[in-house]
Amino acid sequence: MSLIELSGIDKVYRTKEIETTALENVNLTVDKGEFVSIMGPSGCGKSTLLNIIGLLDKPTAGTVRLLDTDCSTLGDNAMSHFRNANLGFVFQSFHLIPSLDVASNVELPLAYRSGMSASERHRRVDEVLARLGISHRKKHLPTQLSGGQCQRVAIARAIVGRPSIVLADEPTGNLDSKMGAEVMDLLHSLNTDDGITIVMVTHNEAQAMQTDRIVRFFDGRVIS
Amino acid sequence: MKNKLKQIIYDMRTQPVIAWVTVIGTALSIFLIMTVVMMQQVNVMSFAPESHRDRMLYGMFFNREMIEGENSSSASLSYDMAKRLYAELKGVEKTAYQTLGIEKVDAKGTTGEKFTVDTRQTDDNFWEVYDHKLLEGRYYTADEMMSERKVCVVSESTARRLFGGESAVGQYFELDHKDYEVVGVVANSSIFASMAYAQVFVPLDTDASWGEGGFGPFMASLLVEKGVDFEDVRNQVKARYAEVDAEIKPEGFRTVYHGAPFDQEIIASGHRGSNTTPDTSSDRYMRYAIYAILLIVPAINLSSMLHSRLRRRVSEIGVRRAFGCTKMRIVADIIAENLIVTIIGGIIGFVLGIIFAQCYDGLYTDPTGTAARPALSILLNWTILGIAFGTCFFLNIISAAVPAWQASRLNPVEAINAK
Ligand SMILES: Nc1ncnc2c1ncn2[C@@H]1O[C@H](COP(=O)(O)OP(=O)(O)O)[C@@H](O)[C@H]1O
Ligand SMILES: [Mg+2]
Repeated sequence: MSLIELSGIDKVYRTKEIETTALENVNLTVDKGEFVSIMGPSGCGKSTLLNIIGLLDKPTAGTVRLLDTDCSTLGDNAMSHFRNANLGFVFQSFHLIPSLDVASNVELPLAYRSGMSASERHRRVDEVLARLGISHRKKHLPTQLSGGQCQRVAIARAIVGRPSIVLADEPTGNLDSKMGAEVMDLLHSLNTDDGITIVMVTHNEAQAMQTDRIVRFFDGRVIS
Repeated sequence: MKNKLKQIIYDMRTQPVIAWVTVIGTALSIFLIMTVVMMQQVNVMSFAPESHRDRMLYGMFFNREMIEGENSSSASLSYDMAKRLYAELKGVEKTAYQTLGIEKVDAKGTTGEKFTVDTRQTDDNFWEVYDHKLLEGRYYTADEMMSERKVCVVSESTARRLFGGESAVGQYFELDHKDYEVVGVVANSSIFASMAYAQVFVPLDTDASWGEGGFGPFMASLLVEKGVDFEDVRNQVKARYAEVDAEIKPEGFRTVYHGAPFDQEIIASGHRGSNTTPDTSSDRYMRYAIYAILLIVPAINLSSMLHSRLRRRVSEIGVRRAFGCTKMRIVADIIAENLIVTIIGGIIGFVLGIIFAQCYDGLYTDPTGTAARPALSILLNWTILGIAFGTCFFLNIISAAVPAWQASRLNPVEAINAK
């Protein structure tokens, strides 16, 4: 069963003077449990594609189906709920909320889920923190953590809501190779142990080679 | 909630100038608004002994003029005229007669100290219409009033000044060079209870009148039954004026009706000239306009303050949106968070307002124009606390609505990547 089905996706950015075509007729299908890497030169539209899959941005043309739902027709509220229930995001520069400690950062997606008790939220947060080996940092602020720890927290946040799909945009881009390798190990374990479908943008050929499939982009088009 | 507090504390630490300007700005505007509101409220809201101001009507003046000629007179009432106009009206629970003003009179008790006291003449119903607290003894009766007994009720502090620490009931003292017996002691009342206040209360002298026209030192205090329209009472009084009118016509006079009896709002507005018809609605609009300006001017400032606080958090807002926060939730969270800041400022402002009221004579004046400090017990009540809280809430909404709405409409992708 395919979890992600993009068909005929165009994305055109229009500013006053110029029109930038970021994506052109992209068709992509990702099956349940797949770990897919997206590669390509800078500016070829990788992030744009990930944002469209993540329902953070709307395509100019084409349809997005996630988990057999036609997401092109969802309203803003429905999209928010859909993201909350089914998607997890990992960003290159972590994007943790600086004023909140690790536990509260990780708890974030659960805070937007209705009908979950505080004790259940805390239990889930503790469980995820333990799994990622950062329980001892629970009360720390993001500024007190190393880059690798920040990305672990970000991954914890991405999976605490038990999403089907995790979207990671250059998750190791800001990390040294050792920490990068650790993060990759984590993503692989989420994929194989938890069956989470992962779409990851990367510039690292070696990392991409370890995934199930590589989708190569050039100038807004899938070339292989 | 806990996270919101954390966020606010973090915010205040990382942007101390904006945070403190926000809190202090809020505090000052709440202080200003509360002072204006409290100045108004002490004259309209109910507090003991004027516990039923919302149900009170005051028949204070009578006016008449020559049918042909310039001569017109207006003043407070004789006892007879007061009863004629205000006794036994339908829809009125109880009517009391009393002197309209306070008379300053010399007093001397067993301590030997000679001092001036504020006296008021009242009938026996006065003790039921108003809500004085009897600490000792009893009130004087209708019989004592009719038989002109020299008895009186004194306030607690006056009793102490007259007799030292001794029990006052049964004691005699000199009031305006006549001996009076104290039959009761009541709790002190505030000068802001301008109708019920006095230090020494004596039975009213039913004969006291000023000339022939029905004028004298008295007024009527009407406690209206619950749910009765003031206009129904006024219409009855108007009919009584017409009766008097018919009677004085042969003498060449006619009555002039100026909307009596007055309600508390008219009293508070200060428009209670004996020969003018009060217009409270223009007054009320003026007051609302002042409140609106006092709210909107700081709201614009606080709004831009919040806007710059939020500019630092654009990326955070984008991340929240990515993880499923709806637009409405963004708006609600920002407003809730801002409300906490506003309430902190509001508490500071409120306390400032109370302290200010306790420190400065002359800021507050009662409707008769007497400057004084209202007691803490008057200012600290649910009405004023409610208004203070409501004001905070309102100030918060009008200052936070626009920035919160703007924040919720940010494009998530652009927001996440904003610096
Ligand atoms: N908000 C935007 N407005 C205009 N152009 C944009 C915007 N976002 C991206 N682009 C353009 O779209 C193209 C693809 O960008 P992006 O998806 O970020 O590439 P990548 O992630 O592969 O480096 C680039 O040419 C970029 O300049
Ligand atoms: Mg990119």
